Amino acid sequence: MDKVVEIKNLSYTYPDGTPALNGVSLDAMEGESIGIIGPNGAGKSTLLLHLNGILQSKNGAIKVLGMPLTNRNLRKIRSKVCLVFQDPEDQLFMPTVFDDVAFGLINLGYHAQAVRGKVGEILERVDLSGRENRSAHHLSFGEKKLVSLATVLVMEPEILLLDEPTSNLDRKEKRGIIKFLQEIDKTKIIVSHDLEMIEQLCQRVVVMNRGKVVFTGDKEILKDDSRLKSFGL
Amino acid sequence: MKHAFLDKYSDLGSIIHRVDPRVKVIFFFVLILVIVSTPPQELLKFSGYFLMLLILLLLSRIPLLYVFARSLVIIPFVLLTAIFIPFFKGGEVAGSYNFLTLNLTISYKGILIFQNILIKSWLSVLSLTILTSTTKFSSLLKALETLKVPRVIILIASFFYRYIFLLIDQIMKIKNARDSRSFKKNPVYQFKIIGYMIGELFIRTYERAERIYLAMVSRGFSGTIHTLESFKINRFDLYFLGSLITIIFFIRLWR
Ligand SMILES: Nc1ncnc2c1ncn2[C@@H]1O[C@H](COP(=O)(O)OP(=O)(O)OP(=O)(O)O)[C@@H](O)[C@H]1O
Ligand SMILES: [Mg+2]
Repeated sequence: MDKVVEIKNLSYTYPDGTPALNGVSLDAMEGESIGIIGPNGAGKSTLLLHLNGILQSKNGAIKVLGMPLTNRNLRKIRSKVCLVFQDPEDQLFMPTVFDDVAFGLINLGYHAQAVRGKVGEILERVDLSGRENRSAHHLSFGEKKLVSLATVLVMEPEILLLDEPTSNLDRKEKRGIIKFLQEIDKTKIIVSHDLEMIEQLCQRVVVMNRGKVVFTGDKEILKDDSRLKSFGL
Repeated sequence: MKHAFLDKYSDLGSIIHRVDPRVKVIFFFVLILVIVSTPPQELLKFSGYFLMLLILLLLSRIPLLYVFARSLVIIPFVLLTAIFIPFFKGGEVAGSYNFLTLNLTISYKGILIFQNILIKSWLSVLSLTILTSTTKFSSLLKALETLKVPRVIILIASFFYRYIFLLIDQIMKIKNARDSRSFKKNPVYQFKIIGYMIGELFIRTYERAERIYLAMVSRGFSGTIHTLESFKINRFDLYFLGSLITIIFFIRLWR
């Protein structure tokens, strides 16, 4: 199997001086699902933002799909590595569901016919056909989450980055999202506090604390409460 | 949280709702131009326009009361700007009042202009209310886009429509947080709190804007937003536009 993500010794400090990452190294294999857990402020979201070049650090090296993450590769990488933000309100900014899902495809240069076809298909998969012309503020929270996933999945990314995909969902909506994510056989990197979901979706677990990776290994760790506690969880 | 949506009745699906949004935009635009250009003393013509709007309203099955209430929103603004006109216009005097040391005279010409402003602005707002209650906001934006309204304006309107409710929610949350913790009734203290609230709101909005921008960038945004057009003008739209425009011009030019 190929390494699709290689992070070497990545450090990052926010412009206001907050240190967020401190020498993080991490690899992801093709088709693998990795769960990243860790206490609040550990740097999990910051790490995700680096993987499609939204944040760029001078310290450390990132290779995605064999390409080093540089400004020249950025467009290409962003079409292959897609990030779903934690708050669906940030992800859905167009006047209708259709426009939102179509947004990425149009930017990728698809023709109108192909865009319509793909949008229809993905909305059917998330069970939201018929909602095309709704505005996002007419949707329930769970539906918003599903549409945000759809906006990204429709671009057929190789690597899916998810920040808290199940936060604020009720149990039924959560099950829906988990089932849907299980059907996607792309490489997934999932950041969450929801250990139950990580357990169901991921083979490998990475624990972060204070900007460092403190554990990488099998998901068995999720059952070991005292060790989790020692990582600040 | 629940809000009264800007385009509350736009899902109704009457004949008027189904007319192509571009056709509606053009029609109401022409109508407003014609209304504004009608000479002020021709009250009959204004009644003609009103009758026409009333028929459109009835056809659209939107509650009359809702539309009229909405259209009245503009009146205070108009009054505020136009109320002094009758006092300033020269010409034949309609009445004069002595008020303390002030000597106020009202002229017929001034009254006419005042009435003119009032009628025209109300009819125009009524037209726009009908347009926005029979057209989804997103379709309206697309219609304006295909009619070559500058993109920046469309984008601003579209983000506004998308996030205004969220902003209101945020204000409510901050307000609730304040109300559940502050008990002092001292006005100076209250002003200080309001200052903090505005600051807080500004920071939250700024941060949200940044996150939205990141979400756009990670889906390949590079400066311009493109959307697909999905309108088809059918024969009924053309009849609608043709016949109504004919009627307006008939009313306007008839003597
Ligand atoms: N835009 C920013 N500017 C400055 N500091 C930031 C910014 N975003 C995050 N930080 C800081 O960087 C650190 C890491 O934050 P990050 O959001 O990556 O944590 P996280 O692991 O995702 O936490 P959570 O579980 O709460 O989402 C924190 O100390 C946070 O306060
Ligand atoms: Mg986070």
